[in-house]
Amino acid sequence: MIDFQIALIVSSDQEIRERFSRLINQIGATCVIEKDRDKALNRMLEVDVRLAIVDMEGDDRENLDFLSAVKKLRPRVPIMAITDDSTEELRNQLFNQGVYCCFVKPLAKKDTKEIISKVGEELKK
Amino acid sequence: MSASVVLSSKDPHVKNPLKAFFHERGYQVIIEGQGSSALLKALEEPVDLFINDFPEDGDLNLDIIEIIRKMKPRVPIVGLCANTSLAIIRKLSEAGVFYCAMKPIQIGEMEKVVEAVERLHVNKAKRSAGTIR
Repeated sequence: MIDFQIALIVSSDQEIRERFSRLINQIGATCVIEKDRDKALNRMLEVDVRLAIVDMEGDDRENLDFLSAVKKLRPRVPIMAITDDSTEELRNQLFNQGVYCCFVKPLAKKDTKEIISKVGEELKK
Repeated sequence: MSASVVLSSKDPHVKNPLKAFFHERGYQVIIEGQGSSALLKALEEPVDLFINDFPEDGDLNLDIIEIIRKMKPRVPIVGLCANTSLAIIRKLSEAGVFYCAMKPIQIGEMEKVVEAVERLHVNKAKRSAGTIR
């Protein structure tokens, strides 16, 4: 069990929010869920977030700016990205923005184990 | 170095006249359509003024304003609203908005706002130099 570790989930997709919150609760951590990115940034200043899980939605530049804003506000918070674009170029851009791992949508059942392991790995640090 | 203004707006009726207005006054203007992109610019660059255009539809989203107040408390923030009811002005004021201008933008009003912001910066500089208290 992980005590009082908080993960922030940022997605406008209900399925992603529910799936990740279930997985996080399963490993004993708590999650804060935000649909809206501006609200998510504000919450990061209020809550001691240990991990940010960000759904890459819409425009690439806006996604990268959002990740940079997260890094500016909370440079030590690791970011996990969920994206529907599996190109090497985007992955490299995400890693350059400080993303430590990336999952491609739609998430398959077999991803669950890896997500749990990656989330747990960061929250246990 | 020229003074700089970050404008967060998606509306061309706001962006175009303000861009021309600030360029004319020698300001460097950074325009972003997304709140998080505008916030990033305000955090990365030295900013003299942050202008947030509140869209007519949807809730009054004060998150970006609140973050700027926390991270860069000395940056004056101007809000642009289509609806300037007392309740909205009060909310913006509580969030730390320096001035709330009504849309459509009146250039005469913006001139007065910019003069006030410039006086504010001059006074801050004097205070830092110890010439006024």
